[in-house]
Amino acid sequence: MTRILWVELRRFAWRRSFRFFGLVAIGGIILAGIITFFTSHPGPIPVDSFDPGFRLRTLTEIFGGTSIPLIILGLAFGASFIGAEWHAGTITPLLTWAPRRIPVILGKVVAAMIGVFLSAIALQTILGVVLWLVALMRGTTEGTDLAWFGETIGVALRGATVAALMSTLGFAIGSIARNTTTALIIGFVYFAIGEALIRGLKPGWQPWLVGDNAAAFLVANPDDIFFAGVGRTTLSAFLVVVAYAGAATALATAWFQTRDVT
Amino acid sequence: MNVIEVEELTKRYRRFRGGTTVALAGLDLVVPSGGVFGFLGPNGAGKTTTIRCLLGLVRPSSGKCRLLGADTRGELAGVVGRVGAMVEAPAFFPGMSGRKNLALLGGLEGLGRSTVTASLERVGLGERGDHKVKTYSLGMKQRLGIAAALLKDPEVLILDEPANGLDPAGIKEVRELLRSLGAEGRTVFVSSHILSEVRQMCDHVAILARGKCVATGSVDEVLHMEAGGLVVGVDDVAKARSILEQNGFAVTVANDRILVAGAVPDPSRITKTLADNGVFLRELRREEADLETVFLELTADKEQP
Repeated sequence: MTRILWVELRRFAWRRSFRFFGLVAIGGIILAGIITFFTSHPGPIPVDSFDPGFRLRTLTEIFGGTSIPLIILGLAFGASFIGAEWHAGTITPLLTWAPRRIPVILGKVVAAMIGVFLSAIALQTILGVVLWLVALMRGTTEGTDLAWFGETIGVALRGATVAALMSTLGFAIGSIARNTTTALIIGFVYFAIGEALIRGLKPGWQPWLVGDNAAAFLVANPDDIFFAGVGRTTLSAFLVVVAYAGAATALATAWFQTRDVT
Repeated sequence: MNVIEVEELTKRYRRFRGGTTVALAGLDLVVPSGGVFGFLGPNGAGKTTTIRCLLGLVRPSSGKCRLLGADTRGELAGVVGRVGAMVEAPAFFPGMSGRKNLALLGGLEGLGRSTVTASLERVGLGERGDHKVKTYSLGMKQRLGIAAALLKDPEVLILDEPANGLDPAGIKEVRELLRSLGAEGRTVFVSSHILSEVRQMCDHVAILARGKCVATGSVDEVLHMEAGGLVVGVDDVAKARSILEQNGFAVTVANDRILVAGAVPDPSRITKTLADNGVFLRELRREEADLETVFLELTADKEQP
């Protein structure tokens, strides 16, 4: 399985969509840095004011916000990682090299998770470094103590973790549907419409919604609206998301193991 | 030793709207070790389903499939390193180069760059290896599929219609490549519907129709299965025809020659009968059937009303 994992990680890195979105994201980060640079001004910057000066302390909230597109991209990357294989038909030659299907699919799902997690961490790191440089030159680093640093790293890690778990959900749907587009439609309809409907019609089910638990884990803040609705600790919210990701992977694995490849 | 053994293999696909489609209906097949084995059949005969069963891609409904002695339902992983395969149209990631596609497959067996390069060069793609697959012609994709199958330096090659999409020069190259691989002692199992190719390339052949093997053996044996008649050349065709008919032979005349139909166990009977009546032979030979005739005869849908 180590070889399969290594091969799949290479494939993840060689994918056009990965490179395309990576370059777009890095370009966006640089652009954001330039805009912040020109809208900011050198310190001192008054605390709790509408002053446009950039305060590095706000990076914690920025990471919370940037985690959302990363989570959506995680879902999409997971779905397309396997959907593209079915579309190109490359599952067939792959299975003529590695006929044991369970290691094959597990290798793929783990590669998707690792790839999404590392990519999210890398992008958050680049964003943090760019904004740190901006704060040094035209802003302030005031209030960025060790506690702040730990909290900020925590948000970035939790965002990347949720993105990685969402990639497994996307992968599982894509694997069962054998198609990226179907998986994306199912995923986005569920999260955008399905969970909103359930939340409105069956409020008692909210503690079991994937999206709400993911959000509660990401914010890890008892004062947050998601956290209150879910009514769980950060750890138990995380475990609920892990359970869904695990169940989806198990279902996709069983499906892949039993179905013919035609 | 037999490389492939298929016994009473059946495969039924469930249709979306109910009912089943029978792709294989009790196929028996034995492929001996070494040489090029042609697997012939019309479209829908079950060639690709057989190959998919052999490679564990499709689960048989019943019957047995053994590849290099291993049951393909549970022991395939133990022998797959000795088998190279290409099933239907070769599938690759179009946005990656041919080399990267092969490197991904080779990585599963720990094969390095040099192996990938050698395989690309063997199929004539050495210079285009770094180009994206989406820029390849159908023939080049076909060659890349063969390169992928050769990557493991396999004992057994299973190729599904490898000449598809190739131009005449490409077909000739592939034919020579497969013949050379067969001559090296490997077993090359090739499905095809191009009869002339099979005749030129293969040592043994099996003909598949409606999910069953209807003929198997060396190419010559299969060709003679549907032949069996004798061609008789004489100066006086009309007289010879009359004599043979009077002596119980079923004959027809075509191109100034008499064709004695059916199996004739003792051709000397014809010689003696004609000579006794003053007609002397200038030609007596077994009728040569071409593979196309045999193929069409054997795969004709005789069971349907």
